[in-house]
Amino acid sequence: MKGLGVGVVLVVFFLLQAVFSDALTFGRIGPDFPLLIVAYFAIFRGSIAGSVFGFVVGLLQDLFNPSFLGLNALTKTLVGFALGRAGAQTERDHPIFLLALFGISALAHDVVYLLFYTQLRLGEFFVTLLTVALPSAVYTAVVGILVHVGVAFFLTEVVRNLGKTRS
Amino acid sequence: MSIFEIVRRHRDTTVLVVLVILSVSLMVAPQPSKFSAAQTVLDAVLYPFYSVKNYFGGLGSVRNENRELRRMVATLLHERERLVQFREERERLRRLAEFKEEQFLHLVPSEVIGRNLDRYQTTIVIDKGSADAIRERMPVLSYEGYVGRVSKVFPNSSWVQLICSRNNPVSCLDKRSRVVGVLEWIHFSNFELKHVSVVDDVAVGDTLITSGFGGVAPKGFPVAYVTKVKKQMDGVSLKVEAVTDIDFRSLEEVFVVRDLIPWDRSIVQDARDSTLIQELLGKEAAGGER
Repeated sequence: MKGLGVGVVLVVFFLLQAVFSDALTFGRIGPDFPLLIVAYFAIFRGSIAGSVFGFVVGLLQDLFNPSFLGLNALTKTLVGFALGRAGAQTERDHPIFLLALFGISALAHDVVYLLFYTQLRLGEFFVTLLTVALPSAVYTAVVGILVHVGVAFFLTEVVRNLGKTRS
Repeated sequence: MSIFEIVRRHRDTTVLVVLVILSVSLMVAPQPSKFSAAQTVLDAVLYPFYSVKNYFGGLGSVRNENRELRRMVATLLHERERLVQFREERERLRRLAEFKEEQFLHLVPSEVIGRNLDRYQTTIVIDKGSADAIRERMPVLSYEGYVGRVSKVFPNSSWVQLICSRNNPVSCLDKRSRVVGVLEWIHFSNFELKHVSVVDDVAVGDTLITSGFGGVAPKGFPVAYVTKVKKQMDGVSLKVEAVTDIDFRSLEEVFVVRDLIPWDRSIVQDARDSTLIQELLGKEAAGGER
């Protein structure tokens, strides 16, 4: 049952990425929804769940470009593990911490990814890092925190008031 | 301390190490196995979602687009009728002059049904595959020009590697001066035309078209235009920067060049076309009166 829930979340986030990614992307700067779900999962479930989930999500992403099969799986595994550890040691419910964790993880993910992708061509690495990865990390963090706050609001306010009668 | 105890004590690190080893093994696996494994999984799991998304995403604009296309088709059909008359005369003259027989492109219209979810990669998936006689390395065009080549073919779909990929250079020539170079993607929509000498005549604003060399891209399709020309440090070559107008992220329809048909065997007009012209013109006239 738990696995089914995780599967549903995965499908939902991939649908989000497929449907909204283009609309929310400016040039090449866009939110990384799969990374967000890995980060969220790792922070609240720990490093084992985080790294396994990161591997699965990364692998699914890699299926769309098999030339680099395994690269997203590797980077997201590392991010999932690190965030699982970091989540256990920080005030993970605090939006500012979450924002920082999302941003740092998105940037760290892209750094590792680009190191492999550019095959250590440093000029290209730094140009892409500064023009795509850095702004995308900030964007991803902001989108992540907005989703988090939105969902929290929905769960606490809307769901709590469901079924209440007006006095 | 036994190995099992170490694993039990450091469960998270063990999981991490196993997953990293798995990922690295996948990265170093042979390319053909990677492609076939990926396609099998994608076909089974994710294609239905893309089809649904594309279907609903396109409904909104399809009515306007259809009206506009109908108008365009009517205009083009008129123009083509005129061209058909020129063709026979032209072919007669070419035969008299003993020119090589010209060829015509056989285009297979295809819908883009997927693109990779990665911001750094540049592959699209189209809805035509080996069942439609699509083969690897076939060139792919959009309305604006040459966009890439088929990199992998499956029964009902194919992967197209776009020219905005690091390992997909295109031989191009300057439309004005006919200077030939190799166009390589740099980043975003920026390209660089390489192997251009300082004595070559390349200027800002020149259009770069496919040269037809290399046997992949057919000759004469626009790819980019020159935005900057400067002398390289070596003093003998030029650094030519170019930009494309093609928006690779929003490609919806592309055309695979399946083969080249001799000009006189290409179906330029048949009986069905004449009926279609009459129907379209009738609808146009009815639309205009309204």
